[in-house]
Amino acid sequence: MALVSSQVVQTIRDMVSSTTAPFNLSRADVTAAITAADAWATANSASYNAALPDPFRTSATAAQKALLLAFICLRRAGL
Amino acid sequence: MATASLELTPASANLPDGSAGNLAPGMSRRQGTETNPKKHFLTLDFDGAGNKEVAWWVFVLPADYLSGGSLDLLWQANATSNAVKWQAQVGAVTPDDADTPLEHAEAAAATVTTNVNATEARRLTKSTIALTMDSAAAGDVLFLALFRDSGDAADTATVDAELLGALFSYTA
Repeated sequence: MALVSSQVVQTIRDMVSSTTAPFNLSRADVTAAITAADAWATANSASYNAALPDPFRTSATAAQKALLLAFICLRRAGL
Repeated sequence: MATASLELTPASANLPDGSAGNLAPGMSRRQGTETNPKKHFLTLDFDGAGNKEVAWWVFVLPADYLSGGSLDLLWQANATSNAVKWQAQVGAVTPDDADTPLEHAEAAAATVTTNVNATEARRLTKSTIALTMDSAAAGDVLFLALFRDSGDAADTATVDAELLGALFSYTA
């Protein structure tokens, strides 16, 4: 399910507030990136789920699977 | 005739209740980077993520008010590219007006679009709005709304616009 506009706004706010460095991308450019990343997540959600081993795949909730991916992405980025 | 001014500080603003359509800017206490004692000051942080946020000032127009009205905004932003569109509108209520202060609608908004400082993030930037004064006269109660609608196409900056203060000027 794609993000609704209020969630896009919140994501922009999260992006800006998560760094103290100057943020020079325009809102339109950031919105386009969020839309693309959101579309990629939709297109690849089944693939991600299939890549998870049992018993995690069958026992974890959708929220837990989402958090797992988010935490791995954050750690890989050094955050 | 001379120019007179009233200072509008972040701390003197009336902030909306945060209900739908009435979002308020955040207020931050900022600390300087000099040696102690460091300066501390307040800013009103107008959202750049796509929301519209409003701050209000309410004051009585001084007895020497003759005409005009402009608003100097002193602000900063944590970016070196893109622009902020500031908007302000005024409602003036005279004693015994048919409209109560609660009923009275503000005049059309006036705007100014200013690029953030391109040399260094958070350099002090000045923007000036020529206000539409709603037939204001000396002794009126003035309701002044300053807002940023960051969903506006002309407002391209993603970061907050951090207002340090404003100066309302008029012809006396």
